[in-house]
Order: sequence, then C-alpha cells, then structure tokens
Amino acid sequence: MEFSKKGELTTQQIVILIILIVSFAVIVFFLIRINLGKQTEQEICHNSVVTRGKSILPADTFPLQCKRRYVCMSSDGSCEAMTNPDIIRVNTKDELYGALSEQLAECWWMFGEGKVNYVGSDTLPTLYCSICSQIAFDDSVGNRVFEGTQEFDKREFYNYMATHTYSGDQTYLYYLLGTNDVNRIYSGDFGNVTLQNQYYSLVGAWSKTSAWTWAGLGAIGFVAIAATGGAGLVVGALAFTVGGVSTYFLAPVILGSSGNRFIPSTLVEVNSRQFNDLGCETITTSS
Amino acid sequence: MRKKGMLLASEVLKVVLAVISISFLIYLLFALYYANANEQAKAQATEVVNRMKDIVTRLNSGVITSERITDINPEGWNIFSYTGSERKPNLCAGENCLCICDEVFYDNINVFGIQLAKDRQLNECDKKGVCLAIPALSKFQDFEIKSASDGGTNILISKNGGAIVISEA
Repeated sequence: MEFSKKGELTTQQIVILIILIVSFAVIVFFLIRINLGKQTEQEICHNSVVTRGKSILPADTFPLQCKRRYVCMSSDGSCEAMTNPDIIRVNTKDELYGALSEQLAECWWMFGEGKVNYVGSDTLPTLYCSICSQIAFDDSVGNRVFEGTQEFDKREFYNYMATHTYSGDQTYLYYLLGTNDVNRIYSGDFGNVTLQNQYYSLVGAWSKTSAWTWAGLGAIGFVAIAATGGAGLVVGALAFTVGGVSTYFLAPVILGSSGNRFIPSTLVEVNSRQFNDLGCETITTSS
Repeated sequence: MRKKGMLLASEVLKVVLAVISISFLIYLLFALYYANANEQAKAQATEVVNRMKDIVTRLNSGVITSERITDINPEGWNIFSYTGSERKPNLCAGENCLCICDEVFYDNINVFGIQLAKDRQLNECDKKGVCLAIPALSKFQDFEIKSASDGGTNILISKNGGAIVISEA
C-alpha cells in the first residue's frame, strides 16, 4: 500500500518534470525565434549612453555597452558577403532605402539623438565615433534591385529620407538632421554607395569645447551652411577640402541640444579614405 | 527491500537536480573567468595589430622594406590570414586581412553530407578576436603564438613586389 502510494507520487513528479522541461524548451524556442535579444541589445546600448551622459563622474567611468550588428541586404535571402549576418530582404529600391533609413534612425536613437553628451569634455574637440552596424549588400541586390548597376547615388537616398515618414509626420531626414531640405545639408555631390563594398552606420560626437576653439579649426573644412542655426539643426557638412574647394562629402554635422556637435547616423564605407578622413579618435562600440 | 527501492527513485531525482545545479554553477564560474581572460587577450591582440598597422603603413609609403616584431601576445592564440575569395570574418569587411584569435577545435565538419559547426573559426575571430584589413596581403599558413618560455613568437613583415608578406621569424 505504502509502496503503491509512493510509486504514484514519483511517477507524477517525473511527468510534471517532463512537462516543465518541454514547456521550458518550447518557450525558449519561441523566444529565440522572435529575437528579443536584438531589441534588448539596443536598449542596453541606449541606457548605457544615457547613464554616461547623466553621470557627474568622468565619461570614461561608464563604458558604453554597444555592440556592432552585422546586417546584410539581400534580395534572394542569401548573403555570401558576411558570416551569420542579420539578413534583411529587399526587393525594390524603396525597400532598400527604407531598410537603410531604419538602420540610421535606430542608430541615432541608440546614441541619444543629439540630446546626450556621452563623450565628455576635452581641451580640443575630439571626434568619438560609434559604429552601430556594418552593412553589406548581397549580389542579388545589384542584380535584381538595381538591374546590374552596382551602385546608387547617396543624394537619391537622402531624397528618400526627406520624403518618407519615420514616425508621426516626421520624415527620416527631419528626425536625423532637423530639415527636409537635402540641399541644406550639402549642395555638392554626395557620392555613391558601391554595392560591392561594406558600409558602417556610424554616429559621431565631438567632445565639448568652447566655440572659440571651433572657430580656429581648419584641417578638415567645414562647409558651413547655417552656422547660426539652433540646436538640432544642420550646422554644416564635413567635406574634405583642398585649397578651399570641397572635393567630396564626408558627413552632415548638427549642433545637438546637449551642446556637442554630432554627425547623425550616416553611411560611411568601411576602411575607406572617407572613413580615415573623418579622423575618429576612438571607436566606442565593440565588435 | 522495496522501501529502499522507493527511496532510491526520489534520491536519484535529487541527485540529478543537484548535478544539474552544480554543473550550471560551474559553467557560470568558467564563463566569468574566461570572459575576463578573453578581454585581456583581446587587448593584447589589439596592441599587436596596431603595431602591424603602423608597419604596413610605413611599408606602403616606402620608408622601410621589412620589419620584425617581437614579444607577440597573447600566447596560445593563432594568427590567420584570409585572402582572395575565401570566406572571411565580418571584421575584414570583404578585404584581405589577418586576424589574431583563438583556434577552435573543430570547424566545418562534414558528417554524411551534413555540415556541422559551420564557420566556427570565422565566428570566433569576429566575436573574440581582432582583425586588420591589408588589401595586398599574401596568404600564409596560420601559426600559434608561443609563450616566452617556449622561445616566444616573432613576426617578419615585408613587402615583396606589391604584396605584403607576413611570416614567423
């Protein structure tokens, strides 16, 4: 009698354990499938940026908890250019520009939208760069979306951002740069995005320093368009200049409400002259 | 006799749960230790890569034709080259590159036509290692960084024609 009773209890325990383990496995499977980790990493990064900005301690006290994402734009779902990337399927130019705009907007949000001074102060303004994602384009994008053309004009991409909504009635370009006028960013040639190359979605922030120090700078030319513009507005574009003539566009620059100058998220070719000319002092994101 | 058998069933359950819990705690302990150890190793690898980058810049500008680097760290890690059309770590951004990272025990195993452990070495280099893009890099056989007690590892970086040649010296 006693044996039977105890035996039943043990079987019951085993059945409950099996049910618990199977349920746990099912829940873990679905959690992995919906990829909450991606969202969490962005939140962790954003929180570390805000914590660093709000702290009264030196900025270096709190390391940024931001990791680089590897993203591949693909039309057929494959991606030979990267190992285990996050694949985003795009079948039209608009879908591609939309996906790239999302990457830039996400990056700008993670780094505080120009409202947070997460890089501290220096005697001379120092540019701290953060790489949110490294973006590659699968062959299928060039072949199917661009019908063999292996590049697109960055101005066309900026025009897309100026005319497509990010949230509410705000366009992507307005969210990033406080304007819908592409010519206000830069009137010259923006250059092309070559699909065989990889690009960073990059945010830059200069450490705080006095306006007089800024006025004395000139190694890389500031093509100032609206130098008196208020916080959140485009104050110019970084362009590489030779003899006072700008030769190519590097990135837009805004004055953030934190008082720092920022390069809002922009596409910069990996290991390119453009990237080197930016002169990033430190890359504040880990691989 | 039966009573002892009954006790065995519940005891086995307890032992199993205890073993699972202890294994999990040991795993946590090791994960914590290796996370810290890997950060140190990565910092050492970054320093070596920065020295290499500086030498490659001077080779390309013609200031020097070859240079040897000594005191390479971290010991136990390997130096790999990825060139041409072979699959490369994401850190290389599609260009020829060298990477300093730990060697994985098994990689891309084919079992009855099913590929297991795909790209483990590439992932290891991406997540825990450091890479330097050198467009003109010549392919070399990967080698392990030896400890100082085993004689250490020195590297010779030279330019041969247009190519950057890296070898164990």
